[in-house]
Amino acid sequence: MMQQPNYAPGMRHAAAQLRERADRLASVISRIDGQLTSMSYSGPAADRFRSTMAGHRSTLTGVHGHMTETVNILLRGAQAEENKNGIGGMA
Amino acid sequence: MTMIRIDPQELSAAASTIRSAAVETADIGAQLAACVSCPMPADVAPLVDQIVGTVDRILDQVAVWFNGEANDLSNRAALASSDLAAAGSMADSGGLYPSTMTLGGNSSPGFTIVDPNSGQQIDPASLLSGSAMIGGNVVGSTTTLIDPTTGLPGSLLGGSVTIGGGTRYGDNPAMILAEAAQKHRDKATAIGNRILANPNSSQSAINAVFNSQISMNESITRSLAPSRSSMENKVGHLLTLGEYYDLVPEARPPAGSLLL
Repeated sequence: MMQQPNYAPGMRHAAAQLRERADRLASVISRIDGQLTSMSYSGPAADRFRSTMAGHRSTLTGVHGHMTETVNILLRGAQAEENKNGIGGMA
Repeated sequence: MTMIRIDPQELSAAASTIRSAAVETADIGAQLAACVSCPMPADVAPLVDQIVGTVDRILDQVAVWFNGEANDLSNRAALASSDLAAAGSMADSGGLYPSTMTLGGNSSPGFTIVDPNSGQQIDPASLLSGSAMIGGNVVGSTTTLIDPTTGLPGSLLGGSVTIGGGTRYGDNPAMILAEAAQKHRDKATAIGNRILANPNSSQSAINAVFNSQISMNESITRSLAPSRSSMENKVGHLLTLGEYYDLVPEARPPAGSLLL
């Protein structure tokens, strides 16, 4: 019988790497939030700036969601591989 | 009345934060493919590749947007700084004004002017043409500033001063056009953001948003680029088109565009 490749460790490593990037992205979002909150800048241009940045922030939040989703896909895939190969793994 | 508050230092600091966020955002995107480069089962790999590819492109685009916002803030900070410098040079028009002035406050007559040489308080009436009231809630005798030319009561100082409010800009056709363009851009950006933030958006919709945003940003960047004549004034001689584009690469039209 041919040996099945063990994908699980690589996928878990990839999930950890991806989670670290997602955390960095969350930190970027948080820094932007902090900057916007602390600014006394006001007027029509300031309103436009805040509105635009809120849109960008929403995009980044969506991206963060996609990254988290990918982390979960990788972890579920790793778990499935471990189950298939009869290895006890952590979810 | 619209209140406008601009602190050049604050805008510069914000521009710096947003610019660093742009760098980090692009950096995160660039590292994603390497993160998931490990071998994966055939049913997982395409899905992960697709998501990572999409996320990478979105992060690149957000980085471009952030840079645009940071540049806008930097430009506004520079403008505000130059305005302050102009105000500073006005205030420093030696001899016209004493070096120490207190305007306003609840006092009578409402202001104090001190002779910078003697340190003694100066009677305002001796400096201004006739008696004057500047700011404050005057509880003493109400005085009037007399126009030295006409001899009539004037309002050289004090009176209502409105900064902003949009009336000066609003009168300018170029500003009206710019404002309309800005509104269209904001609307397009908002729609694009909604598409990009929606996990159910199709790849073709996302690509359409990218293309639209990129061409819009390129167009704005070219519009804001220094003109050829201003660069010629700066370098002190006439420039060929090639030399101009070398100095101001952002003015170069995109490949394939029609040069008029």
